[in-house]
Formats: sequence, C-alpha cells, structure tokens
Amino acid sequence: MNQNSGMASLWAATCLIFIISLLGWITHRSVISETRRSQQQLFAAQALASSESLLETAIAQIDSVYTGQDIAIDTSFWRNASNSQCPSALASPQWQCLKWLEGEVGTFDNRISALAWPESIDASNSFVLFVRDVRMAPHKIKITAQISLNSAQAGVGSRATVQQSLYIPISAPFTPHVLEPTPRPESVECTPIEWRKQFGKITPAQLKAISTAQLQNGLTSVSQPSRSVYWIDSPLPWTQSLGTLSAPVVLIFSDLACALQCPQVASQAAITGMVYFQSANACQNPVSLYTLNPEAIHFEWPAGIDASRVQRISGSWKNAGF
Amino acid sequence: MPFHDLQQPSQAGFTVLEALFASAVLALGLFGSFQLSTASMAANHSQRNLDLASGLAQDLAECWQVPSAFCISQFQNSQNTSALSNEAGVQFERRWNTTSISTQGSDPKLLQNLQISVKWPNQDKFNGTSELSWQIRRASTPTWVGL
Repeated sequence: MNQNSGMASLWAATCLIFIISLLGWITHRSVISETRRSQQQLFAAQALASSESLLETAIAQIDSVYTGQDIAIDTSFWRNASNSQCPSALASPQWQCLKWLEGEVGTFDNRISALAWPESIDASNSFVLFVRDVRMAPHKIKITAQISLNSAQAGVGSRATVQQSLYIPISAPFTPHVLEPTPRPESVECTPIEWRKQFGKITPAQLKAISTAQLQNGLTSVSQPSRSVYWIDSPLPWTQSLGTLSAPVVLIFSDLACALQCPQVASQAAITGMVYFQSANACQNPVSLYTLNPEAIHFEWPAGIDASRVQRISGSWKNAGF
Repeated sequence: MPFHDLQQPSQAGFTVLEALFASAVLALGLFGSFQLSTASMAANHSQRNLDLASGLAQDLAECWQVPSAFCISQFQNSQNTSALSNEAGVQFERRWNTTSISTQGSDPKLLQNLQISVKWPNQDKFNGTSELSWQIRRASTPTWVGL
C-alpha cells in the first residue's frame, strides 16, 4: 500500500510547483500586458503632442501669411490648391483644399516661408491639410494636421490627427443694404455709387481674392454650386446671364476694366444679384445697377468680431478625423 | 502472523533519491517563479516611474501659457528646474526651456516651443538615469470668444 507514496508525494509537489509557476506566469503576462498598454498610452500622448505642435505651426504660418500683408497673398497661398486634394466627403467644387507635405511649401512666394516641421515626426507619413468653402465661407479655414512619429521616438509609427478652424481677413462682417430692384435706366444720368455703401468694410482686394479663389477652384455659372463672385478686369462687353433668385451673384467691373470706358452689359444678359462698376467712368456708360441684394458676399461672421486679423474659431478644435 | 504483515518490507517514507528529486523540482519551480516575480516587479516599477515622468511633463505642458495662478507659478522658477519625488522616494528632476520659432517677417513670439525634460534614477540604465523628453509648440493667434 505504501509502495507508491514517495511517487505520489513527488507528483503532488510537481503539480503544486506547476500550478504556482502557471500562476506566476499569468501574473507576469498580466504585468507585461499592463506595461505595454501604459506604453501605448504614452506613445499616443506623444503623437498627440506632436500633431498639436504641427497644427500650431500651421496656425502660426496662416497668421504670418495674412497678418499685415496685402490680401492678394491669398491667391499666392492657395495657388497649388485644388478640389482633388480634398477628402472624398468634400468632392463638391466649392471646397478648396491645399495639402502640404514636407519640402513642398514656400517655394512659390518669398512672402510665404517654409513650414518649420517638428523634429519628432516622420515627414513621409505626415501632412497639413487646409480646407475652405470658397463659395459659402471663404473666410474660414479648417486646418488638419496628421502625423506619424519617426524612428527617433520610442513610439515610432504612432499616429495622431488634430484640427482647428480659423477666421482669415478675406472678408468682413456685412450688413445687407436692402435695395429695391432698379430697372435698367434709359437715361444717361448716373451717379457712381460709393463702394462702402454697397460693400461695407469689404475691400476690393478681398472681393478680388474671393473671385480668384472661386475661379481657380472650378466654380462657374453652370457648376453646382455656381460661382457667386465675379471680379472682371477685362473691358470686353459682358454677354453672359448670371445668378438666380436662390443664388444671386455679385459682378464687379474693376478700375482696370473701366480704364477707358466701362464694359457694356448686353441687353440679353440677365444678371440676378448686383452689378458694380468700380470706376467713375461707369457714368460714361449708363449700365444699370440692378440690385436685388448683395447676398452673395454675405458671409457669416460673429457679431462684433474684429475681422482684420487671423483668429481661432472657438470650439473648433477636434481630435482625429476629417 | 497475517500474510499481509509478512509482505511489508521496510519501504515506508521517502528514499534519499526521491527527496532530492522532489527538492530539485521544487527549487526549480520556485526559482522560475521568483524570477518571474522579480521581472514583473522591475517592469512595474520602471513603468510606474515612466508614467509619473510623463505625467509631470504633460502637466507642465498643459499649464504652458495658461494664465492661472497655479500655472504661472509653475514657470516662475528661475532655474527652470524642479525636484519632485514619488511615494517610493524616487527623485524626479524636471527641466524646461522655451524658444521662439521665427518665420520670415513674422513676430518672433508668434510661434513658441516648450521643451521639457524629466530625469530620474534608474539602475538598469548604463548611465544610471532615465530621461523623458516632451515637446509642444503654441501659436499666439487668439481665439474669438465673443464680446
């Protein structure tokens, strides 16, 4: 009966050790797993800090581009922009997108310096994307910064995306000047209408920049949505019908177009919106100002804002996603 | 004498060989278990220090340019250093440095960089210390918050 008691004890000891070892192993795995989770959290926080740094760098870049500069720089800044660079959800031609990768910035205008990319990011997997709606809100830019940590960081490959929107001084708060539609005058009498009466604080340069942006992005009278601002420097007669009651336009003939004599607007050209001649020479050409309202340039601004400088839009900071 | 009594030779108890073998198995198992426990504790300890260091760095980064009394006091130390310790008595040294990143023609204060470094003793490292670096940038562009 006691013949196998030694072996049984040995088995019992072995089983006990096995169970203890198993428990120890499980505990160790648990600790390692917790350590890795904690490390991943740290890497994610580092990636987020780097993406915020890149976002802040891009915000400073926009600030330096638009502050104290001629607004014509808007055209230079967005020169390489196109709708094709937009995320698929923003396929409509009203969206203008500019994607910056390292080494592709600041080479086309000496007033725009190169972006100072943070040292911690992998430039081949990082970018800054500027997006704006050139028809409805050209004065708001949404900046998205996406980064991947480089091999100098412990959390190599960790990614993060942040975004924030800014107001830029390409427009100004506007109080609509409700005017009755005026019939095309028959007489030659005409008084040039003061710019500020029609456009408030919005400057000619700003409207020209918006017009250029819409043209560059492929908005036309037949696109969906259609172009809303036309800045014309050509003295050639205008024959195209523009605008609808639901989508009025602003058509401006510049000083340049009116240098000698303002262009004729053909009688068959129906313009719904506003036509404005920048020059006093408009009086040489009794083309009507047939205004419904200048809704096409009525962009949404918060009340009381100082629109002369770049500002962050409160509550627009977002972590991840487009 | 009953038959079964005659069949019992002196086999009761362990032989020396059995005892040695059982002890060896026990020792091996305990040694492995001890090693695992030691490794777990070391990893846990190391990670706890790293967590604390990153917390100290992030805490300072979050406070940067925040106009509250606490945050302002965090950056008032002229030496740019602060010594902190955890409940285990590990001393952490936190240093920071701010620099301007100027772009062409722009205000030098438009974009600033905060570099934070946290050091703490670590016997497992060659130089006896571990270090965590943290970097954050901030543009001075204001936020429109209404009138």
